[in-house]
Formats: sequence, C-alpha cells, structure tokens
Amino acid sequence: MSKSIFFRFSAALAVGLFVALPAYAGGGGWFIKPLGLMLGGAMLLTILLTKLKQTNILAFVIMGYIMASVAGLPETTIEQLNDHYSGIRAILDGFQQIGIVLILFMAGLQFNLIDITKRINLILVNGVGYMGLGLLLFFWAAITFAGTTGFSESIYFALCLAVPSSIMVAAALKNSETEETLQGQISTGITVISTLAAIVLLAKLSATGAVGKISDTTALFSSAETFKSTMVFNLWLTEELILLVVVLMILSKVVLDPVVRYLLRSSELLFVSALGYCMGIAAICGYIGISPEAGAFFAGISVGNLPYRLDIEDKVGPLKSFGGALFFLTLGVEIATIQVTNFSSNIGAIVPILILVVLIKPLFLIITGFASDLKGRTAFLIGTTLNQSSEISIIVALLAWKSQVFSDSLFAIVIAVILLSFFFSAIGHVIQPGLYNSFKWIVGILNRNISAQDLETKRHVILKDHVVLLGFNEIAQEIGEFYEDQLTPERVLLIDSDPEIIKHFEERKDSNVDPVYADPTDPAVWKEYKLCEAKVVVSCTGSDLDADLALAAYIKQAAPSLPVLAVTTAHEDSLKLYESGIRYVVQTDHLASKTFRGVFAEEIDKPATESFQEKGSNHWKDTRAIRDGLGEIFKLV
Amino acid sequence: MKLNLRNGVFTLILSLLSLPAYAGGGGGGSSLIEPLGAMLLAAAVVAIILSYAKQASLFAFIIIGVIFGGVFNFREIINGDVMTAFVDIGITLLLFMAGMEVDIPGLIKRWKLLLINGFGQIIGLFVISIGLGAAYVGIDASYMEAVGLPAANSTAALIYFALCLTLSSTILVIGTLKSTGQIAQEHGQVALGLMVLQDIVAVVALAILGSLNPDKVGGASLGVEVGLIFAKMFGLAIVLYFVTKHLLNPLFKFFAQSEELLFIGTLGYGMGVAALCEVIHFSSGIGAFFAGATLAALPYRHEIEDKVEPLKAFGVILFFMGLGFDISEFKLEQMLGGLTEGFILAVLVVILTIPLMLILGFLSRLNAKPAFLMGAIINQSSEFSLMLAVLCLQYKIFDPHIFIVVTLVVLISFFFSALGHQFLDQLYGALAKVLSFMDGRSTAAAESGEEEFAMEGHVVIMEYNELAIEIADFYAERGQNVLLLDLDPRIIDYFEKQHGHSNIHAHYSNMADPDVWEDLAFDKAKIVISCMDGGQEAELAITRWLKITAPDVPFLAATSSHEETLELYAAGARYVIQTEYLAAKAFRNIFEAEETKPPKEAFREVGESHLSETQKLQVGLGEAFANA
Repeated sequence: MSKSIFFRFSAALAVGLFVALPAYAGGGGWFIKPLGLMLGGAMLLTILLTKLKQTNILAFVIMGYIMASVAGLPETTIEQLNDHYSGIRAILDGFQQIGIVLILFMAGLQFNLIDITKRINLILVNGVGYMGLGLLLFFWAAITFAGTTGFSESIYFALCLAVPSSIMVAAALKNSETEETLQGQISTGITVISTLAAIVLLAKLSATGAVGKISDTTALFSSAETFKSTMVFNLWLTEELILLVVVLMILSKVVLDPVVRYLLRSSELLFVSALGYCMGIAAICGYIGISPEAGAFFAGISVGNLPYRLDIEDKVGPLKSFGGALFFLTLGVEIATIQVTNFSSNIGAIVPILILVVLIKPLFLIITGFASDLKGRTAFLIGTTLNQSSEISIIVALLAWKSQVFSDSLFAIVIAVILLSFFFSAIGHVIQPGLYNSFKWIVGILNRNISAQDLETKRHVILKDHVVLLGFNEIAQEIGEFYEDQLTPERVLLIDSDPEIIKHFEERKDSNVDPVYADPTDPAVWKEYKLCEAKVVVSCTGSDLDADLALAAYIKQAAPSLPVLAVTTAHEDSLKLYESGIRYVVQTDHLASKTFRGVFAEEIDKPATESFQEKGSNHWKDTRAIRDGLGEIFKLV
Repeated sequence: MKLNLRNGVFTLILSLLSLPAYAGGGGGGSSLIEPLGAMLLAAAVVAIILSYAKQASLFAFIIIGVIFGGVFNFREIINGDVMTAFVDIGITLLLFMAGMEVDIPGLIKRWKLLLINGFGQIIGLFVISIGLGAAYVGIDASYMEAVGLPAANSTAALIYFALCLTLSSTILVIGTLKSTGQIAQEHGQVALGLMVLQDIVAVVALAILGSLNPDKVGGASLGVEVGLIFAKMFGLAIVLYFVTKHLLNPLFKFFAQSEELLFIGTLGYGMGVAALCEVIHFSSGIGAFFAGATLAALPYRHEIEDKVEPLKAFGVILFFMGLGFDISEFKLEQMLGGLTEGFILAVLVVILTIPLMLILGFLSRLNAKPAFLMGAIINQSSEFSLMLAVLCLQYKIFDPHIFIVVTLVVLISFFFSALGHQFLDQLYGALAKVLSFMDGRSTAAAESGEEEFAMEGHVVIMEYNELAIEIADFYAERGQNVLLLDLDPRIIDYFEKQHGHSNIHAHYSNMADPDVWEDLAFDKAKIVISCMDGGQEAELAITRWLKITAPDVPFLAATSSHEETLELYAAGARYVIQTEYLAAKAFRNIFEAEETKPPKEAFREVGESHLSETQKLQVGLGEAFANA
C-alpha cells in the first residue's frame, strides 16, 4: 500500500517536473494559450448546453468571461493587461470587427427573400406589426425601467430587444420539424423582416460620428434647424443604402455570375475571392462613409442570389463560425470589463424587461394575429418561437456601447436581458406543446369559428356520415378528388387553419370541398363539427403526432367503430398511432418507397441516357396539371 | 382593403427608415476592416489574374503585401499584433491539418517506398543544400562575424539554410495532387507520405529553433532541450493514444450530430490540445500536429478537414501578406544583392529534385513515371521554409542577406515548380524513352492492396430513409453494393458495425458540400439518388453540377413538395421522387378498396398488415429504426 503511494507520488512528481521543464518550441505565440483554453472550455460547455437544448453562443460568452476574470478583470483594466499581453486591446478589437463582418456577410448570404414571398401578406402584417409593437413597448421599457433619457439610446435599446434571433428560431423550427408549416413560414418571415430592420438601423448607428452630436433629445427637439439637418442626413443615408443595394444587385447580375463560375474551378481561388469580396465591400463602404457591417450584409445578399451559393457558403461558412466564436469570446471579455455593480444594481430593470421579452412579446401575436385573422394555436406557436432577442442585437448593443450611445449600465442591462432571453426562450421551445395546452385560453379570442349550426343552415353542409379531412395536403387532395369522381359526387368537409387554403376553396364554387377555417387539432372543433358522427376521418396534419394521438383517443371513446386514418412520414410514429387506435396510418414515405421501387426496377436497366426520362417527363406534366388546378395554393401544398 | 394594408405596412417601413436615430462611432478605435478588406480584395483580383497564368495564389498575397506595405504604408496602419494573432492561429491549424494527413495504415503499407524515397529525399537534398550553403553562399563562422552575428551560430545557420531548401510545400504539393486527381494514385500516396515525413521534420525543426531563441531566459543545454522535446513528444503521443482509444470516438460521434457542433468540437479539441501543450511548456505546434493525427482515423475526417481548411487558409493568407510587409521593409539593393544567388539556388532545387527522386525511385523499384512525377511535383521549397527563415532572422541565426536568399528561393522555386505542374505529362513524354529502363520492376501492385469501394459505375444514395432502404434492398437482391452518404453519426456507426453483412457502404459526408460530389466521383456514378429531406438547395446544385460535368449520369431527387418538384425538373433532374405524390397515388387505390366496406371493417386489414410490416422492420433495423 505504502509502496503504491510512494510510486504514485514519485510518478506524479516526475510528470510534474517533466511538464514544467521549459522545453519550448517554435510556432504559437502567447495568444494560442488563452485562446486554445477558451475554445477547449467552450467545447466542453457546449456538450452540456446541447444536452440542455441551449444555444452554443452562451458557451463562448461564458468562457470569455471566465478567462477575463481569471486575468484580473474588471479590477485590472484591459489597458493594464496590455503591458503583459502584447496587443490584447488591438486583438480584441480586431477579432470583434472581423467577427461582425463575417457574421453579417453570412447572414446576408443565407438571407432568403423566398422565405417572405410564400406568405407575403401574412408575414408583412405580422412582421411589421410585431416589430412596431416591439419597438414601442421596449422604447417605453427603456425609459421606465432602464432610465434612458435620449432618443437614440432608447430606440437602440428597443431595437436590441425587439428583434428575434434567427439562429434560435431556425433551431426551434428544425427541432419541432415545423419549418414548412404555416407557423414555421410566418416565424421565419418575421425573423427575416426584423433582421433587415436591425441591419438598416445598425447601418445608421455606425454610419457617422458627426450626427452623434445632434442625436440626443434636447438637440433633436430644441432646434428646427437641427431637426432639419438630421432629416436631410437621414434621407441621404437611406439613399446611400438603397444605392449600395442597387449597385450590388447590378454587380451580382452582370459581374459576379461569370466571375464566380470561373472561380469554381479552384476552391482556393473561390475562397480567396469570396473573402476578398466580403471584406473588400465592407472596406469600400467604410471608406465612403457607409457602415462596413451593412456593406458586408448586402454583399452577402448579392452573392446569395447566385446559383453557386452553396460553394461560397462551404468556403466562407467555417470562417464565419470562427468569427462568431471569436466575437462571442471577446464579448465575454468585454462583459468582464464592466463592474459587477452594473448588473447587480440593475436587477430591478433586468427582471421586468426580461419578462417583457420572454412573456409579453408572444402576446403581440394576438394583436397582429387578430388583424390578419390567424388562429389561436398558430399565433401562440409563432409568439413562443420568437420570444427572445437576437444575436444581431448583441452586435448592435456592443457597437452602441462602444459608440457611447449606451452607458456601461445600459449595456449591462441589454446584454443580460439578451443572454437570459436565449436561455429561457430555449427552455420554452422544448416545452412548447405543453405550454400551448396550458395557456391556449389566452389565445382563445382568435378562434372565431363558424358554428356547426351556421354551417348546416347557412352553407347547407350535412354533419352526419360526412367525410372529414383535417388539414390539406396531397393525400387530402387525392381523397377529395376520389369523392368528386364518383357518379354522384360526395361532399367532403375540410377543416384547416391555413387561411389561404380555406380562401382558395371558398372561392372555388365548383369544388366538392366544404372548407371550414378552424384549428384541426382542437378537440372543441372535433366536437363542434360532429366528428364522431362522420363516415370517415382522415387527419392530414402530418407533423403533429400529439394531436393525432389525442384524436385517436377521442374517437375511440366517442365512436369506436368509426375509421380514423392519420398521415405521417415516420415508422416510429406509425407504431405509436396504431397503438393509440388509429385504424390505418398513411405512412407516406412507406407508400412512396414501395411505389418507387416498382418505378426503379422498371427503369434502372435502361441505357443511362434513357432511364427515368419518360417517367420524369410524365411526372412533370402531372405536376404542371396539379399546379394549374390548385392555382395560388400550389406552393403551399 | 388589401391595398390599404400593404400601404400601411410600407408607410411603417419608410417611417422606420427615416427615424432620426443616430449615433457616432461604429466600433470605436482604429478600424481594421478598411485596410485589411482593401488588401484582401486587391489580393483576390491579383489571384484571379495570376490564375490565368496558372500561378499559385500565394504570389498574389505576397505581391499585395509588398505593394500595400511599402507603397501605402499599411504595415503601420494594420496592427501587427492582430496580424500575428491570426497568423499564429493559422500556423497552429496548418500543423493540425498536417497531422490529419497521417494515414498510419497507409504508411505501414508503403513503408519500404516511404523509407527509401522519404528519407532519401530529405537526406539527399539536405546534404546537397549543405554543400551549396557552404560552398556557394559561403555560410561559415567568418561570414557570421562579418555580418555581425555570433560565429557560434554558423552551424545552426548552415543547417537551417539547408533545411529551408530541402522542405517541399505541403500547400502546393497537396493542391496539385488533388487538382490533377493523382492523390489516389501510387505516386500520389507516396508523395503524401513524404510530405508527412517532411512535416514531422519541419515541426521538430521549428521546435529546436525555439530553443535557440537568444531572448529565452535560462534553460538547459541544446542537447538536453532537444532530448526533452522528443521525450515530451513521446509522452504526448502516449496520452493522446489513450485519449483516442477511449474518448475520442464517442466524443466526436456526439459532435458529428450537427455541423456546428463538429466545428466547435474540432476547434476546441485542436486548439485546446495546443494550448494545454503551452501550459505544460511544450510546443503548441507539435500538440496541434498530434491532435490532428489522432483525428485522422475518424470517419468524420473529411468533414473536419472541410471545416478547418478555411481557417487555416485565412491564417496562411495573412502570413504571406505579412511576409510581403517584411519584404517591403528591405531596400532594393538588399533584394538585388540576393537575387542571383536566390535564382540559381531555386533553379537547382527545381531541377536537382527530379533526378534525385528518379535515383530513389530506381532504388525502391518504382516505375519511371511515378518516380518522375513525384520529383516534378515536390521540387520547390516550402512555406515552412519561410516560417523557419523568419524565425531564424528573429533569433539572429540568419542575417538579412540569407533571409532574402531563402525567401527568393522559395518564391522562385514556387513559380517554376507551379509552372512545371501544368506540363507534367508533356515533360515526362519528352523523357519517357530515356527512363524506360526503370519500368517493369515494380512491386507496388503487391503492396498497394485493394480499394474498398470502387468509385466508378457506383450507385450513390444520399441520406438514409425508407427510400434508401428500398433502393439498397433492390441492389442487395442483385448482389451489388451501394454507397450511402449521411450526416447522422448513428447511421454511420450502425453500418460500420454491419460491415460484411450489408451491401451499404456508409460514408459520413455533407451532401451539400460540392467537394464531396467531386471526391466521391458523382460524375462517374451509375446513378445518383438523393433521398434528402429538406435538401432542395443542395439537390438543385447537384443537378446543375452534374448537368455540366456528367450529363448522362441519371440524378434522382426526393421531395415532398409540388413546387420543389417543378424547380428540380427545371434544373435538369431526371426524375423527382415526390413522396407525397407517389404515396397519394398508392393510397388512392387502398382508399377505393376500403371505403365501401362497413365502418367496423374498413381499413382494418390493411392497417393490421402495415402494422405487422412496420414491426418486422423495427426488428430488422434495430437501433437504426428510430433514425431512419
């Protein structure tokens, strides 16, 4: 035993002495040690945060803060640290600047206007309403809770809190597999609009130092001359931005397309050129007085429109991730430079503002949802997906702080609220379905459904032995057509919460589909429209397994002999649905793969130039015919 | 009403645009973006121009560094600490990636070829360069005294001078091997192994150089320090061996769940090991190299390389621009003073490497062509040579003259070698008859073994799901293998365990990455089938790529949307597997048959049949059932 301890001690001593011997080698300046430790620590923290379904941004901020605290901040200033760590201030600034430009370039590259066009009306009404209400509320909150006095600090404070995070929204929709649903499309669209608004205001923030002098409240309203010059400058700045966008779009069409096509032959050349373009446009914008950040963003959009977007993204993407990592690490360091009292003494402001962001922001969707006639569930899910601040807000806040628009105290409040909103919002995303079940009464006001009585008397729909389709997709379409093709066409009741699909069928007078605008996953709706008296019920809601399970339980109790069918794509869901009592599960991928196998066996042995040619051509014609039949809702199915 | 709503919305947007919300600054402090962005943009333009002359991009970075550093004085504007920080990161990642090139089974398989060609090239060229350094450049004790450096450093100067001429460029060699498709060939693999050997030599040389730093306080003698370096290297290798054996696989399987996690994991691991080496007073460079080597065997290696490459490239770009800054500091007469020696030495490096490799090829029983190609590809000095030269200048081992000579040798040999890479076949054609005596004695076929999966006429399936199962099953009945690409580590793991029992060869790859299409030879496939869910953009890009590179290869893409179907057909997809469409057609038949039955019986039998089929599938697929 003692021998073992002796050996262990000797071994530990030998290893300790060995590793402590200064046998140095080349490569790796002093900076590699803290940076590597921070990145290594962030890697470990990421494992934990991923398990907790949290965003990885927090890992970098925390590691930056820890490293800076270990180095002695905030008691020691960064300038004092500069004596020991050569150029630390410049390195932090350099990393932040490069990080911001790369983040915004990639944001531009991934900026997809198609996200808006699919649901343009709904997105515009809800998006602009959401941002407008957000700016108003947080402007008020800035004055009331954070004690802001100037217009600029209040509006940028409001902007930071009003914009939702594109990273978190995308992750939430991906996890719940609802990217292509109505709420998914509207959530993404609102994020796109908000990001654009944030970039425009960011451009204004960093555009010039001259106007900063006339930006406070007193200057703004005390002199008509000042106000006039502000407006003139503002108009000029807006024109500059519009001009930048126009120039870049022309560049994209005329120059970039052939150049990038040439560059595709060498990945090295493509990388160098993409990087040169991103940083170069940012630099040119900086030289001519437009914000480099906005320049990078719009440069990203200009190459994002090209068909070679993936190639560019593949080359620049990792650099953006690295830029992001560096940016958030340095953010942690910057936070550590602020005295802790700026956080502790502002708890009274942080908590209520955090409540506004996480709990009150979702309620905006009740107002905008009411205006745009959304159903309660859709509005609730959108609201609880967007209830956080954005990573762009962090950039805005940091620049505002460095531009002295924000004081230390205000910056501390904003950053604390943003980071905490990431945390609480992510938790909310995990339990979103449960939250809806508990709080759906809040959005009940939006569920203004037609009553069964009105349906029967005014629209002459018979709610007995009726065919019910819950949700509209290809399967629902096929069933509708089946009943339409009968010698005596039979009517089909379609319940859907997508206003555009309902509108389409309301306008089609020749259709055998009776549309009802209601939430197909709502048990009250099942009861109202007498599903238990139906001939057959087919749930085509697809991604909502819980709703299908609840439907199966309801029918099992109310009408056990009624055949209920449900659509899904997954094997595992099929088993759960059968267990719950669903009579037949339309597992689309299963049916498709069985059908496709026949097509494949028929075609694969043909010569390469002929195989699948005819089948493809026929399918293309079929799809075109469906497009002509469905009109505007074709893109939604 | 609609018009009013839109008008209202646009009025709101315009109001937002005209809000008088201003601030000053924009980051505060001196901006790095403007000068750096201007340099990068200019470098991109010059690189494109140089590409027409078939020259490497690094000339563009050096030229821009010289012009902007010298003429526009950017070396004073751009903070040197920031440049150094990025260069340090770049060098660490360069070594990390060099480590990832270590294919230990491959090295073992070709050990004889590597031993003779690798060590032969290093020793042979090193000896020649020592001779040139002593006899032609005149590096000795008196030279050192004459230029004001310690005479005791003359041996070190001569050794490092020779080493600078000996090492070949990893960037250029691997770039050429990849771009010409020679990397998979016999000589390509040997050249790759040779580069790894050179990398190790360079890393050790960098390590030893650190101990020669005159600013270093204290420390043992050189012999002890070199011994310690090797001892610590050995210790690090042992620690990392156990890390690899017990920790790395599950750790990276976790990270491989998503691209973002994989990036964070890779960077954290590579830079973390490098930093820990610094903590224990050891070279972060060697740490990064070893960390890279431990990842080389993981199935996620290609994706990891893909993630790290741009970061390394950014550091390398800044390194070369920094080099341009350094060059711009030299006076013209200094440059001209080294030009003749630099030119002659560069030409000698370019020319002498080829006969040296032919002799070594003859000794190792290589055929003439691979031996010639190897010599003609590695005949330049290395970017490591530049790093060594910079450090030697800082540590007073080189004077500015030797530094300029080495720099010029690297630049000129890069130029001639890169030029020669464009005409490899023609050059060999001219010498083929003379070298024919070397042919017919190769034993490489016996050593090379068999490739696991032939990347020609193969069936490519992207993403594992019901469709992929059906297609793979179709080929299993015919006794043919298929290549499956997926980004789910659980799927990859499942099929690796099934090795020999399944016709599916699973490969962890990002299907949206254009390099993957090229590396896995989509253009030579029998058929490419994408079963991706939500991969519309990648599918469109593959369609366009195949349309240009291999229009006869049938490309089938899966989607669930009508709109995406039309987009895919418009882009040129041969057939679109629109799952909802196919399912709806198949379901209609079922519906027709069941709808007329009494409610109690309708859909009961088909439902039970589907349930039992799904349960069987669950048993068959085991853990993969939930992931399919």
